[in-house]
Amino acid sequence: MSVIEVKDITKHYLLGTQTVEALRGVSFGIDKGEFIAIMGPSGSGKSTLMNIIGCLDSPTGGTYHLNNQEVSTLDGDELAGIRNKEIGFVFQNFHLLARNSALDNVMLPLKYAGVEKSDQIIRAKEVLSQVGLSSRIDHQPSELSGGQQQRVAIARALVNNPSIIFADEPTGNLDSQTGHDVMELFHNLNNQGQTIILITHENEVAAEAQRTIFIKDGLIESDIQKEEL
Amino acid sequence: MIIQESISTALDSIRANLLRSLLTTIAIVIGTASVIAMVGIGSSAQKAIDDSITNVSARTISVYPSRGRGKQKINSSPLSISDADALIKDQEINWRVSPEIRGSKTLKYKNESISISVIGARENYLSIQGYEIEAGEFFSSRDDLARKRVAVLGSGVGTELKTSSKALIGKEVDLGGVTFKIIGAFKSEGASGWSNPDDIIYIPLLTASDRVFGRDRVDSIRVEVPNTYSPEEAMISIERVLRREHDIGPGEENNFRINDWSQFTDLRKQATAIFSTLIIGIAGISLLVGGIGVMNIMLVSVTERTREIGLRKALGASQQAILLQFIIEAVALCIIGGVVGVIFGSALYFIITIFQDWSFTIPFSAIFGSVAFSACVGLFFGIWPARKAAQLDPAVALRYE
Repeated sequence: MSVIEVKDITKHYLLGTQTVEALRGVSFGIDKGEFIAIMGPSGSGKSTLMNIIGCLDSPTGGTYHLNNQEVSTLDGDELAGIRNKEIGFVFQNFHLLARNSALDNVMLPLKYAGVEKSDQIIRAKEVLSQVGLSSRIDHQPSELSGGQQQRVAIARALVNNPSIIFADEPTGNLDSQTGHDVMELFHNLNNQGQTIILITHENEVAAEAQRTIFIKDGLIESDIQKEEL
Repeated sequence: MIIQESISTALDSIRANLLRSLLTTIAIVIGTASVIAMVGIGSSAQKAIDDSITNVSARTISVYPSRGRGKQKINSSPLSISDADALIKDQEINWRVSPEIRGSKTLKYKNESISISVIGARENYLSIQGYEIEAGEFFSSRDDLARKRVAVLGSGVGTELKTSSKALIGKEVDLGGVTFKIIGAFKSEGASGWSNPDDIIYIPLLTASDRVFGRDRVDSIRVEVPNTYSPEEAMISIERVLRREHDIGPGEENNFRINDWSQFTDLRKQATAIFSTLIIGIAGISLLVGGIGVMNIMLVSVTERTREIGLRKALGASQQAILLQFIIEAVALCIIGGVVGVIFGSALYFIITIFQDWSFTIPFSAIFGSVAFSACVGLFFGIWPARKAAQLDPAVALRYE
């Protein structure tokens, strides 16, 4: 069953008087439960593609079905709703709110989803224990190590039971040991059936995925399953 | 749910930049503080004026000689003691009549010599003015008829003579070359309007007329009208009597002026209203400036927190949720400023009432009004920065450095 179905996606930007074609017709599908890496050099259109799949941006042309729902035509607030329910983001620099506790950070998507406060707390504690941070729920980000902060971010990504976890260079700001631990966590989540998309430029990280899509000059250069590597 | 979250986020953000937030709200603080202080002081002053006017002359009408104006050549002494006597004789209304002769003389006691205001009056002056005797007594009508050289001192006169008014009772002083015996001293009355009754020496009317000033011209006649008559009725009666006394033919103008104290009150009220309007105007400008300051700081805040906004949007915040968060922050800033202003303004008002010996009443409507107005300022000036935040592109905002 495919979670993501992308057909002939194009994206044009207007830079001054010049039109930049960041994506020139990209098509692929991602099935539920896949662990996939999207790679590409800077300027390849990788970030643009990520923004579109992450529902942060809309394509100029083509269609994008997320869970069989056409999302390329939705407006800003509708996309916000989709992001809230369907997508969990994990960023390179964690993006935690500095003055909020780990628990509050994890509760944030639930607040925007309109979940009851008491249910927010129960659910947030649940995912925090899932990432192994039960004992740190009242700590602020500054009181946590980089690895712990990224775990909080992953818990936040998981809290709304999203269809996809979107991880943009999740180990980029971590040392190799904690980076390895974080990847371990992703593998565990994937084994439980969670669809995970990694955006990375590191071969080492991409090698953890079962499938790798290479983007170059706004087109898919290759789409390789691990067995074929 | 979202509102609750927005409020706590807004307060967090204000707390995180406490100094900046407080500096931003200074103009709002000044604006509301001045509104509260001025409204409070204005109402207390008004009350004090009303009280004093009610005390002294709820229904006191004063008659003054006209000041000669241009072609209208009037004789130089249009009001005399006989006019007052005519008013007393006319008992259509059972009013009380108090003619006064006023002037300035030198008062000497031992080696001290001061220039002093003198009032020559009848025995009813004391009760019409509502003054109280501290020691000794006020002169009687017999003292007046006998042109006795007796005097009563305002409470401050003795001090100017390097002693006290009370201590001077029974002593003899020299007033403009005439020797007077001091028979009483007033309690301190405090200044009201232009004159200070504490700094005046009071002598019987006829003594003043015959022995001190050498004239029967009086400077004013006060008429105290019983409550059962309206001031207008009384004024008409006074005018009738005096026109007859002065032999003024039909169509000719009065050569005297009749002042109803309520006119004076109206004037005061008008002046107070103009003053209040002015202050409210200044406060309004101050709040406007404050609002612009708040808008400025909110724009800075939006820029500083671009990535946070991007993150919130990535996690599913709608435009409305972001808009609300920043508007609430601006409104909260202004309300905090307003509340601080209320505290400062009330304190200032309270201190002034203590010094002026006025009554202190918490100006609830002004407090509510100015805080509500501050909130509106925040709402108005918060909208633009909040819209800017709400419309940020999440993909761009997330990568903002």
